[in-house]
Amino acid sequence: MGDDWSVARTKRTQEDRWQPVFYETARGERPAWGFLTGEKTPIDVRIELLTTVRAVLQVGPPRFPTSTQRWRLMHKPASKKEVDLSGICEARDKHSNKLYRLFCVIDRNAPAHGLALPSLVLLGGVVKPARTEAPQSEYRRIDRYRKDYQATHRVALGRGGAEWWPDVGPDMS
Amino acid sequence: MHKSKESAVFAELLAESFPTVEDRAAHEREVAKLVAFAELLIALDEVRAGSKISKAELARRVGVKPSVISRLLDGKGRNVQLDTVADVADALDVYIEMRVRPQPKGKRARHAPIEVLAA
Repeated sequence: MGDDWSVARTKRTQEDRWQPVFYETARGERPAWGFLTGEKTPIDVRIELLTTVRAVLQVGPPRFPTSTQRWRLMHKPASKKEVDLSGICEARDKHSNKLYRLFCVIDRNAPAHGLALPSLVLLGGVVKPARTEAPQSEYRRIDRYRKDYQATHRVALGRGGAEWWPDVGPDMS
Repeated sequence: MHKSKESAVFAELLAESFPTVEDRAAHEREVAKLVAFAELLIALDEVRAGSKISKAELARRVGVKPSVISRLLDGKGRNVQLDTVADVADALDVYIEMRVRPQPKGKRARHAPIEVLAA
């Protein structure tokens, strides 16, 4: 719980106004969770990506610089043959000559479809060797998640009673 | 972080990923550093944009290649060079206040290691 917190927060931040959520498929899968906790993603990479997501939430996703090594806004591809992921943001890390990408969408209007706060929606991830392109099928999968989220706004719900919360906030309703 | 049923999933992953007090403290320090650097770049770029100074013009004033300014203000460099930041601030006719202060004695009252305050 919050009691074992050793770096006190000195002020409330954007993280109190934005929340991280996991997109969930119709079959109840959480692709971003699977990516972050899967065998292909070393714990060091997971830690780096979670750190980036927390920092983006604290600054506010629309404000966070989007050309950084850690956080980037996708633009339209140069070729029409490539999947268009423009508008999606990616948290990035490099580890042992592999590139790890966690794809997210910023949903300012999340409260309008029942979520507690504007949300950073974690869609899914891709890993690829450095200096290569991932197969387009991987990007199509991410685009499918985005479109499904935009159509259904389906996100994973916690069981409650999480062991640790990064901040002291109101009780879960 | 606000507590909601949907953000609880992320909290569960944080709990699993940072199992000890030390892990959590180290994680918070890293988050605080990223936030501070991002806020610093945002603040400088807001001054630049508000003054209607292009990145190319800023580079000319600082005496560096435009790519140096782009890398700094777009956050492309892994490490922010304090030297460049100071030159950019001077060229924008602003200054940056920095203070080194001791941490409070109580462990739970520790501050983030670096923080950018609103002007």
